Amino acid sequence: MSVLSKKRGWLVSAAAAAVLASAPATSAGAVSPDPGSTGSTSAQSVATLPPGGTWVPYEPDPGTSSKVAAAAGLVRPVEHACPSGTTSYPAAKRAFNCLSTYHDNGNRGHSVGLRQGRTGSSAFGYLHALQDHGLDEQSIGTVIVNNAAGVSQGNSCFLYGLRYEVNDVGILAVEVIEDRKPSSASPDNYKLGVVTAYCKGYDQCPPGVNESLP
Amino acid sequence: MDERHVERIARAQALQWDESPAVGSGDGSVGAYWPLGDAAPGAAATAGRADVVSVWAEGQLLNLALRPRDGNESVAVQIDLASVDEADDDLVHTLVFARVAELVASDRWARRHELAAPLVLTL
Repeated sequence: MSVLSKKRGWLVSAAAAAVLASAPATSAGAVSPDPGSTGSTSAQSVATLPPGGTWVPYEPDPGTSSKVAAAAGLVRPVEHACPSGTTSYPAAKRAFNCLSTYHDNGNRGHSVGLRQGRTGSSAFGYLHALQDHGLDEQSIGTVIVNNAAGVSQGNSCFLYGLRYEVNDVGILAVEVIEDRKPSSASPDNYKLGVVTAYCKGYDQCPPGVNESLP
Repeated sequence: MDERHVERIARAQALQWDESPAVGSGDGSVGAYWPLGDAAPGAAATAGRADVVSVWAEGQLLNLALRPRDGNESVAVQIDLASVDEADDDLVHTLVFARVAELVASDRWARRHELAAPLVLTL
């Protein structure tokens, strides 16, 4: 486990987003509403994660319902070693240092790499998730290992997610996006790995999220 | 990143999204995969997701028009690439995708009806 992952309360980057005052013309135009659409289902904000809930994987084992998977409890993430030669890069490439890998499907499936990453410009990886969104490494690992597989998002990205339910009502979700394509900026030819991880509906995850995940 | 490079990114980004297979949630949209709460049947396919309608360059800004699946009007998003010195186009594409996914999953996206101007994201 990286020492970095255990440090909390780091500088929070303001790189996430800002609202622009002026509105330049765009080619978007007015788009007709989707006739088959539904109303907004955005999450209600919580100041602190309430107790008594359960974490439910987006993608439980095939043949296993989300309920059964949730009742069984979450599997603790096992940190696996990085591929040989993917660490200790010089300063210019330090962001691509591999910190660890986690295997989906209960620590026995597809390997997802977590690189050091960076915040600010071209943010990605562990430091982006930690500093910009407040997620610990262990939380990222827990999301990955407790899903049977990632959900393809196109563009070579896959999404892993856990949602927190209290009395069968989802009130928060943690999502991890992995890119399975290598980056030509990287010193190695392995997948880029975790691009980002965040709490859905929040810039910074509310208190209690990291602590509630094993 | 110079303007010609941003134009190349925009063209490639638009192409990537056009070529994105209908996968995962059953389409080529971007955003959160699963809705929260007691969503009505059918909501899972639409809530918290958006289609990328178009991508174009404007100076050093990468513009995207996103159409929410929940019926709201399209949202203009600008990603400022001025400070990006990343030489790896593939990584830029990936990060743009990730930022848009984060946006769609964020509270800013939930409050998009309050926004009269494009959102500007830093890469």
